[in-house]
Amino acid sequence: MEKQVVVRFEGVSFAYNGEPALTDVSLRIAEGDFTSILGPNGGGKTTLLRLILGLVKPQQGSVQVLGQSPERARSRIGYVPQLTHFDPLFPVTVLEVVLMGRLGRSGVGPYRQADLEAASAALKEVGLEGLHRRAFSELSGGQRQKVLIARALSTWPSLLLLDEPTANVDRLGQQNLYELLRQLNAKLTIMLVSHDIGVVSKFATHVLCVNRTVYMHPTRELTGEMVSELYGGNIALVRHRDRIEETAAAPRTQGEGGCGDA
Amino acid sequence: MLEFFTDLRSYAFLQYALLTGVLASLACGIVGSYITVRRISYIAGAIAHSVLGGMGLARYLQQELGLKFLSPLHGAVFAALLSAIIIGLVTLYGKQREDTVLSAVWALGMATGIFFIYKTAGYNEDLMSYLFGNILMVRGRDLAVIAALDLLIVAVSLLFYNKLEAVCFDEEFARLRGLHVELYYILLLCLTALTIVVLLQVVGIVMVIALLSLPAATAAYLSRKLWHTMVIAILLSLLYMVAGLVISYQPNLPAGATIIILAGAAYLLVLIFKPLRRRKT
Repeated sequence: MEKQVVVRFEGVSFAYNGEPALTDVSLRIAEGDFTSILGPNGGGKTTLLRLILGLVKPQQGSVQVLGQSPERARSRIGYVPQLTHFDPLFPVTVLEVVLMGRLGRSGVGPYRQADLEAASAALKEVGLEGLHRRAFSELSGGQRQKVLIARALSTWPSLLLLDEPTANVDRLGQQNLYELLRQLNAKLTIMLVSHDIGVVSKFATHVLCVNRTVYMHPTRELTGEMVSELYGGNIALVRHRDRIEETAAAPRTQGEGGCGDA
Repeated sequence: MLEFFTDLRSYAFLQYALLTGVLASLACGIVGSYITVRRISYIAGAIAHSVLGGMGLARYLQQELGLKFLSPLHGAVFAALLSAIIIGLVTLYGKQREDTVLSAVWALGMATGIFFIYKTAGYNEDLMSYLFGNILMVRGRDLAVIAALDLLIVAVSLLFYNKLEAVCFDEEFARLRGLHVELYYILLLCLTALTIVVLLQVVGIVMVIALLSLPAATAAYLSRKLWHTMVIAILLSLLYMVAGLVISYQPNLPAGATIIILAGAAYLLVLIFKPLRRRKT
């Protein structure tokens, strides 16, 4: 039986004020895939995510998510943004953050019992059941990232999208996160942006190389040459303790093409 | 200090002042907390100053053109809401420099106000009470308007608490969950506008921004939930307002300024002692 296509791009091009970010992208992500998105900063990774979420519209081509337009499919996408996106002084508890995933379903007034149950279940799923009442800002990077994953899970998604979940997370936390994602992959399609190539090759089923154009590879075909070509030079194929982004993404001399030429 | 309490029984203006303080702290604590966590107190500053335009115009129409039913308070409500909506729309959709727009609203509002106040008899006295507030001058009629505004502010803030919290915390995620983020942002600015009108009675245009930010900022340091921040901010502003009134009454000090100095001192104390406490635990 053919697996359902979760994300489909057909000839998609997108430019910011005439500056092309992605050119003529076609791709298919199937149900149950674990896809890692690699590529230098400014190469179009974030644009790709924003197109899937329907936050921007392609100037050419079409994007379909779960067989619908991205705007309509949005409620079935669990989105996990980067940690740097958050105000560390915001007074909010773990449970309250996770409850925000229930927003689309709740009316005015307080959250309902069903929302609380869904949030608790999501926290349990990511292994943070004891931390409901802790302040979000007091947690470690890895724990905060798990809270955000729980928030995405409480929306009951079919597709989980993560934007650099391991940036600002220590090494043990990263291991932990990937183990969690691997478990979640049993029931969810997962796409994540990561520079952590070593780990990616262990967990991901597919790799998207994004540098204005997009090439898709099954992970087993990924080679060191492809990656270094994508990032334009000597990228270290080891796991860094933190701040992966800076080491990996600094050289940007590479033109279009990336690892697709290999 | 005791004189305040003995006089409180016999003078209606003192009772009105106290009641104004209680009502104002409710709106101040709740909306101030939203403003603080969303980091838009500079927008509140622009709205507050632009209100002078509405107050001046209403006063002019009332005194010089004989529209007796109008009062500066009506003008303040109108100008505050107008500025909030203009600022909201421009910052959301205008693609202009935000600080320029805020400065323009801020200064144009004040200029309009000064223009009309100058053309109205007895302008000096009016101008001073608008700019620096005078809680002892609140009349029964104003109190009814303040109470109605307060009720509206509290009801809307609590009814939409979850959504406003989510929009303040993570706007993008809220949008992805299907919330009309722009609408909630404008709603928040309108709540801010109405709260400013209530607080004007206590501390005046110039110092309103202190009451909107200091109690909530102090409270945010002491809590890990937004609604806890609100409750603490309400209690703190109530404390500042009552204490300010009591302290300033007998020596005939300016009540508004006394209240702000208390709020500022408490904020500084928390800022200084918070890191010490954290180190211990």
